[in-house]
Amino acid sequence: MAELLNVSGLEVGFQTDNGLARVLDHVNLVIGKGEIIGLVGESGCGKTTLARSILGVLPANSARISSGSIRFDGRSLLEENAADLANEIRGREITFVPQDPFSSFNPVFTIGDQVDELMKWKSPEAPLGSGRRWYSPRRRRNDRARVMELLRTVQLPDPEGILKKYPHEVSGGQRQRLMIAMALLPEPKLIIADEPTTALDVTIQAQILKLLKRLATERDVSVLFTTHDLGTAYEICDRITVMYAGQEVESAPTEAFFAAPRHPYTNRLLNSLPSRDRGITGIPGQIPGLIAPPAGCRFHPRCDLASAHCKASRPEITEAGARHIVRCFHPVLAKEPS
Amino acid sequence: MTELLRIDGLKKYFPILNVWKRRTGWLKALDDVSLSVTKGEILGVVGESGCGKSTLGKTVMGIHEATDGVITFEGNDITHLKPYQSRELRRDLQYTYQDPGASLDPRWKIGKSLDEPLIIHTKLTRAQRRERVSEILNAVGLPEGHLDLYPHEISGGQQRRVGLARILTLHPSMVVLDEPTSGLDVSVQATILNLFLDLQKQFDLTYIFISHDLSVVRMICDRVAVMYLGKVVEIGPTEEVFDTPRHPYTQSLLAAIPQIGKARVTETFWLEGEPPDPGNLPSGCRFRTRCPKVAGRCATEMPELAEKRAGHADACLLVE
Repeated sequence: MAELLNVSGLEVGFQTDNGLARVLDHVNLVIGKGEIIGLVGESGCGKTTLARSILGVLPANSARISSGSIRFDGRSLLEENAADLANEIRGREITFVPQDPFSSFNPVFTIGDQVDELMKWKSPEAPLGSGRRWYSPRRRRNDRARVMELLRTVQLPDPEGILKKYPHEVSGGQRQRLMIAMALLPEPKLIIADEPTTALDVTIQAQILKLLKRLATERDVSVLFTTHDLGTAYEICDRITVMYAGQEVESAPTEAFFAAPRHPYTNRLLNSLPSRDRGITGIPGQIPGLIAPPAGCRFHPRCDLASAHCKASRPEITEAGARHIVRCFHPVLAKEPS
Repeated sequence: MTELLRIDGLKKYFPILNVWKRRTGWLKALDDVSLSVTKGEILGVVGESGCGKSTLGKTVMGIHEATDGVITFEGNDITHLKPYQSRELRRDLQYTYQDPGASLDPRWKIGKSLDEPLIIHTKLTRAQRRERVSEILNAVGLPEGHLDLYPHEISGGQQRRVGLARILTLHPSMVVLDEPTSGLDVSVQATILNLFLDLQKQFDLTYIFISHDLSVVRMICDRVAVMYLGKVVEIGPTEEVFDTPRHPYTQSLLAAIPQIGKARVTETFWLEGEPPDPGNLPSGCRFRTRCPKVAGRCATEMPELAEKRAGHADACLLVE
């Protein structure tokens, strides 16, 4: 599979009053063309920071990128001029679906106004460059036709009517459908979806996941799907990467991932899912602070299998199977499929 | 089994007001809900947002006043209580809010928040209160040192523990848990759920567990009530409801849960659209606008909740 995005050795820290919080620690991530990658982890593990680094929207005054590279479609996102990236990449080649579709719309403009504003700058027909721009009636008409077609594709009832409404007048599921439509309008190569179904009810979630998967497959768009729910990751992802305390700890194709998870943290995470057949077990202890993370393996204070070696030195990524990598000295043995 | 709480024909209507504060309709958040809870059981209440499950919990607590119907708790009618009477009641019947981070006073230390219910409801001395607080703190698994911390200094999971500790100091007999695990990570959720089960045994508690997370409900509840737009559409023992759901809404709700290792929901899910506006309900069965099995009489007849098998009731005209 052709490679679309390659994040390697990325290190991001945030300057806080108590010192530098090392939020991403040598993270590697590869996304192929048309692939749906699930980025799974608990809150505070750095998945949103990784998504934001790719988009180039880290808070400028506190975030420090100290090393690593992000290569997207032959371009280096960390080295190029920020203004060029804003014009050519962000919102065009890489688009974003936020977690909370309500706070992402401006409440005082109609949805139609906001879609028009997007199309004025980021429609596939819009010329590159910034500054004031004339929005020709012909292009507006073309764009409108494109918008209507996509709104029908995302199965919004009454697409003409919805553009005249204000964001508070439509339901959460419809707002998320609109967000997905707006993310697809610029015809991007990569969509970053940051927990797009967390705020939704389960029946709506199923519909949104179904829609996202269908559109991504049809249009051959890659998706980076961050979630804390392994169940939704199972639903739509081709490959799953688990993050813990700023490091990726395991990455594998979905089937292999659930059949034979190798990292102790992944196993604990799977066991903490509610299930009727076996009781659930939480993970003792807490996520470590990132200002002074544990030495060696970051998971060792909560791990049953930790040895003296884990406390002293830092595990590197090792191969554990076909496209299956794990960051652990004592990976759990692959179970026989039952 | 003794019946602890009984709800009969409970209704809660909220007025829909226009710009001039004139009533233009009613939002029927609870419409003729009847159920009972026996001592020592965990009753799950599930449904999508806006189905009235939180309103149910709040009306039972007296936070909302019922429009119609009767609520009986330990044999006494508690539907319309005077403020001083409901203060008495709250010692036995407690409610935990969805987000304890927001319901703890940010300017009070945890210790003070835990002390307050004892000051209000008991005549214990300071030393006795201190003892009771540390006993509860131990039960919910928090270190003693946390008494001197402020709510923002502890994690979300710990805030939930404090919220629980706060109501357990009074030794209530029944607790209404409103979305107690929403917004928690799965690993934290697992420990909190285990805590609920331990405390239930330890303090002989009865829970009403309001949640939208069906897999959690399946794991910890004895019985489950499924709500849709202000009505209970199915109620029965958890195993039965999850294994052989009768109502089409329950069936689609269950089909929407992602299950690792099973067929993918994205390939099998059939339900389309969203619940209708609760201020403008369809005639007849409320689920008919989305129901895959809808028949002609669904639009004209209102299905009633009927026990069609022992202990397992549903409200669908098409289920025999």
